[in-house]
Amino acid sequence: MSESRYLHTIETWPPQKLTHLQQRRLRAVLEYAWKHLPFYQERFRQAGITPGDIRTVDDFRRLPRFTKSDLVAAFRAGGQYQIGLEGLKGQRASNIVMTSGTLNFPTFASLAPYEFDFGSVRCVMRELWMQGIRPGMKVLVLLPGWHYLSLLESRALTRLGARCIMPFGTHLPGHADRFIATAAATSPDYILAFAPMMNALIDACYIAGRRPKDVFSSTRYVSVVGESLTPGMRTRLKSELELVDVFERGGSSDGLWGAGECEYHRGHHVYADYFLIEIVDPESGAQVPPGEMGSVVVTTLSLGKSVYLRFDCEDWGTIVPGSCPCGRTHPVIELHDRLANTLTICGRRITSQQVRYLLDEIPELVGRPFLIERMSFDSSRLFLHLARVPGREERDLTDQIECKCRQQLGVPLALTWHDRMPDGWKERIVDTSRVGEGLWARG
Amino acid sequence: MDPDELLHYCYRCSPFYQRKFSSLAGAITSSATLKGSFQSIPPLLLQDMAHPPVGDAFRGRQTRPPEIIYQLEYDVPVFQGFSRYDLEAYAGVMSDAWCQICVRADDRVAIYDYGSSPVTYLSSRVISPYLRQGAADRIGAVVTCNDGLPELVDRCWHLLTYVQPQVLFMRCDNVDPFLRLLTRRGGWPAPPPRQVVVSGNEEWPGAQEISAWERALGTPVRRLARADLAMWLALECSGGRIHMDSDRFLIEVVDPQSYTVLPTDEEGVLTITCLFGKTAPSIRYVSAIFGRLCSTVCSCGQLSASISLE
Repeated sequence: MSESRYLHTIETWPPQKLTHLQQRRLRAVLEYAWKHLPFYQERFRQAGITPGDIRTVDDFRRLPRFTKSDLVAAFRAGGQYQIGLEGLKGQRASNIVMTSGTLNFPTFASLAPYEFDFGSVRCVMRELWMQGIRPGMKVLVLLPGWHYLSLLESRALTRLGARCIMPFGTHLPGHADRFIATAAATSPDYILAFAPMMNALIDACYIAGRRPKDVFSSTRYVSVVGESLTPGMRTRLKSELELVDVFERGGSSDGLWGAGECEYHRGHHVYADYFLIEIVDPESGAQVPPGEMGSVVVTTLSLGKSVYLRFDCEDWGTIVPGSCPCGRTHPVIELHDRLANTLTICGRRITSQQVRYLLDEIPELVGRPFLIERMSFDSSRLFLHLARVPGREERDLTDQIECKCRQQLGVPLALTWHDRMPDGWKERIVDTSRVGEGLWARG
Repeated sequence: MDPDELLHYCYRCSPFYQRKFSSLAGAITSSATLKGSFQSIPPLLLQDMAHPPVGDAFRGRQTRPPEIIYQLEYDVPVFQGFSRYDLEAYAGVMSDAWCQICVRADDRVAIYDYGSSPVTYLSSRVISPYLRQGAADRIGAVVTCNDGLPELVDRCWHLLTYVQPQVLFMRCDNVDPFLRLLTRRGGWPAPPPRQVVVSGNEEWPGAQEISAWERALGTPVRRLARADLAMWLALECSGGRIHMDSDRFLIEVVDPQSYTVLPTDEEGVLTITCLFGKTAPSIRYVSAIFGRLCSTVCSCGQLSASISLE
């Protein structure tokens, strides 16, 4: 990745020039929303502002943010997939995408051809290029075809001239066997996957009596989405598959935005010509300074799709301070976890990602799925559910986890071991009412 | 592509077909027409392509490196490779099927199938890499799809509730879970689609089953025949038959044991040759679909040759 590090010169534009472009695009989107999008016309009216009042990004922050709950309410009230935020720029929609359904309600977004020709597809092309995909490379795509991100990837891979390998099946860890067969037959150079799927692939190799590095002997890079990688997980992937590098990408299909890591792995570069990202205090809505954790608020700066103006994704994120050695001038943010994956134990705020980091410090538990049980009547302990590790004493592992919980999180542990975990990958914290045979049987 | 041209091309470029045609090598290399010897070409069986060795996904069947590889929906690992031109032609076949059920511009078409099913990936240019125009793009329809797992039928329900599609494509496996949910909830969440199309790779639900589904769904149900290894797709006509698309496929009915070609009206298995797929050609692929070439004119009024599937 030396001679052609950047796909487009805009990636290294001076910050002032980027800010200028961002403000110009923001004004255009605001004007469009004011004129054409009922969802925002109402919000402008409620806030008592018009696009004419907004000259800078600071002015823009007077527009109230909204959350998935607001979207859900609008979909329920309208009873249909269009809720007045579809900024299709006069084009007809070509695709309607549904999200995977946090809050148990998948939302909808409309996409026009513009999005796939000139819109966010350009960001995804830059991300994939940044992460080492080159023309002619064989890329194994282990992502669901219906997902917004996959649609963009499909076009981006085409335009980059990569050769694509699409396995049959659904992209849940239970289907790892099929994907191993695909990898063996097709010798991919690169894998795009959900993070939990990579763990499942490694486990499935061992179950089949094969070493992952033999099955994936052609593979040099992996890029994962869906959840952030812990250092333990990165190390495991690199060593088990003998990779050159492992990358992470992130974003949200509620909000139609995405970003990816460069080779320095400091966080995700958010392309400022397409997205305006703020990090705010979840309660007060005040901007938090770089380096501090807050909720990610996104504004999409291009049309041809459903438009999001100050949409609070309810994900924990941090703006990474300083400039990136890769030379890209676009902001870098680190994504941590869903706000919903947070609970208070002994008066401390604990995220499921903290638990993930803690577990990944124990080699046998790297990447292994877990669940945290939320007990409304008992917040004195961390109620953790894990699958047994073949060949390891439960008592020994329990002691190690217990010790780390006390030292790193300052909370006591209540651990339950299971033969297997549910197949779902999305939820990490579940209410007591859902923990039981029902949840386990679903997989 | 003309069958002669396809056979010569395969002989020149595909190691697998060079081996397969060895008994016919004299005819292939000469300029003589091959139509006469076509039926003596050894058939292509699923097991010939299954469990490919490391790094040889097509077992030598390919004529050039594909731009995209799809793993097919069989119990064993089997792969099909495409160039962008193959995909475009394949999507043209799907588009014709959509026209047959009168999908119109601005119609919303929902698909309850896996993303790796041709029903899904041929529908829209943004689902499959390298596809320039999917069936929906050609017609101006809007596509929406989600997980194809039967246990995720609730997500399909949610999609139907809010998107209210005019046409619903559903994999055969998903019909029963969907019907159970429909019964439990006392009917459709919104006006039912004007057409439901059911499909499965080398699956053909019987006429009685279709009638039962139509009664339970309260909307017309059509079957889409598929043999993915041969890139074959065909929608049944209103007479319940499949009409020959002889510009794109050669279809024979053969004895399932001896693979000899059967006369009209005798039942056997469909053996399909795809005339447009040049990257990993399928010549005389023996499918698992039973049927017979019909000697009578179809009740739908089309005069082209037709097949009745069992």
